[in-house]
Amino acid sequence: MIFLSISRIAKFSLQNFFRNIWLSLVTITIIVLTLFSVTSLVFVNAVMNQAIKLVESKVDVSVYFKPTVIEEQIVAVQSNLVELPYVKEVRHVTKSQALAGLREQYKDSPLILESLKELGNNPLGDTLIVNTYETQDYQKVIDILKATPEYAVLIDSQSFDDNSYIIDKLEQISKQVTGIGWGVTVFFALISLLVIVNTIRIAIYTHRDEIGIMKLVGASNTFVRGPFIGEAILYAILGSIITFGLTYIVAGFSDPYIVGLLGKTDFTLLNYLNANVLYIFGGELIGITLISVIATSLALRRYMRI
Amino acid sequence: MVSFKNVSKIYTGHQTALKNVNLHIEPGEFVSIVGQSGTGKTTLVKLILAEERPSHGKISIGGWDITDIKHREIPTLRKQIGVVFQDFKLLQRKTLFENVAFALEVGGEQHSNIYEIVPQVLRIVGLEGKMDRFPHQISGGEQQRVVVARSLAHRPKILVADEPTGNLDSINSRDIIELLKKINDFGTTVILVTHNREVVNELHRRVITLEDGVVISDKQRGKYLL
Ligand SMILES: Nc1ncnc2c1ncn2[C@@H]1O[C@H](COP(=O)(O)OP(=O)(O)OP(=O)(O)O)[C@@H](O)[C@H]1O
Ligand SMILES: [Mg+2]
Repeated sequence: MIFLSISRIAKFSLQNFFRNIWLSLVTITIIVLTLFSVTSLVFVNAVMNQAIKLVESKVDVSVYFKPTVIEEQIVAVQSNLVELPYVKEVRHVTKSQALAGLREQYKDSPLILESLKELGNNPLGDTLIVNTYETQDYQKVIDILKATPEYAVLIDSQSFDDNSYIIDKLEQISKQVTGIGWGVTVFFALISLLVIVNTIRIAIYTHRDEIGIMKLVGASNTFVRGPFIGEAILYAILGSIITFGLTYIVAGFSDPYIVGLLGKTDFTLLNYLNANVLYIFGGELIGITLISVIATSLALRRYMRI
Repeated sequence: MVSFKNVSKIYTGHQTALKNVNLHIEPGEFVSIVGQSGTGKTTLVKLILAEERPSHGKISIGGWDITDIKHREIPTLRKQIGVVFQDFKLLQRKTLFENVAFALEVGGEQHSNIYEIVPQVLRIVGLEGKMDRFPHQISGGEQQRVVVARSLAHRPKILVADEPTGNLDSINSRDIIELLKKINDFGTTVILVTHNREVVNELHRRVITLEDGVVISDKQRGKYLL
């Protein structure tokens, strides 16, 4: 009996769908636009986060020691820095590594290599490269180094690539884009709601004779309302599927540009999509189904007297 | 089968459609309800179908007090009543078979039963040979017979017909009334609302006459009074 009702409700839902096929297509288009704006929002956020991460990973403080400073002293400074709670890692680049690095860097300029050789002794000092978890903590590291006299005498100079400005800027843009994205999404969601209400209203109007008969022959309220709810859910599902396909196509097309934007990274939209496919589309499907059901309930309450 | 006890119906806007109506219809009866336009005949039908609620009094159908019937119980009530209205039309895009089948489908009838019942009721109204036609391919009288067939499909205990002959000429009207008599012979209680003097006088059955919402006469083997 329940199965019978469900299959008949499904049948009538499909009939509703095809009887006003153009209206159905318009409704689905609006749903796709809504969902796609959500997806775009998710994508933009992912790319922005990736960009911020990238810039952050390039920020560090380099502490250059005087050439006379001995290994033990450097190790002592290193272990003290590592103990700070906000420091992620401290890498030690020795004099000889620094020299090798320099040689490697200038391997195509014989002049510089020549003059390095002429110096005989390695003129470089050791270096500690400090990374912190948060960009705003770099200044703290620098302050500590300056404020501690035992350290200050050992240190030749320190440099801090100040990318915090870029990061701030990126975060700011990210926030703005998210804000605009939400605005667009809410706008489309409202339009979807209105369009679905209207579609169901017209479906009710088209089926007024059937509805009259259903009521007089004792069809249950579920049975009278079911096909309209079913129709709305059908819109939601079809809209989601189309968005799903469209998203993969757009991700595929965008990925080359992402590489251009971020440089060589492991991050691609396709990978991101694959990793989060359940969250993104599951969430969207649930969300749009809810909107559809709410819209239909509104339309039924407003336009169909039981 | 149908019982009204001191029933009044006052529509919003203070329109009194029925005043203190008492009537009792036995199972298997054939009752005509007559009266001038606006005297509350359709209102009475709507009360039986629980499409409207009485303002005062009590109504029971088949021993079930439906005065304060709950929303979700209405389908159960309506499954026991067949309805024929003058403006309660066929679906133009469905064949005669599909029209009758539709009423059964939405009532939750099994598929196999539908294939058995539909030809059966169409045979009763004499249209089994035209099952695959669309409504516009048959006459108005035949259409109304299909409506009767549809109202019979779920085997109601009561058949309520509000002006079933309203749009028909006298020959077609007679056909419909003959049909209702046949249905009544099967044991179904028939309540016929009509303006048609000829029809009522030839029936020789119980006649209830309404005037301004009041029952002014209720006679076995009655005549059209007005
Ligand atoms: N929904 C309504 N709201 C307010 N008044 C109504 C409503 N339905 C009917 N009425 C009024 O109630 C009275 C009885 O109406 P009803 O339809 O029962 O008459 P009737 O006897 O069926 O008339 P007819 O023979 O013309 O069909 C009329 O005065 C009508 O205007
Ligand atoms: Mg009437």
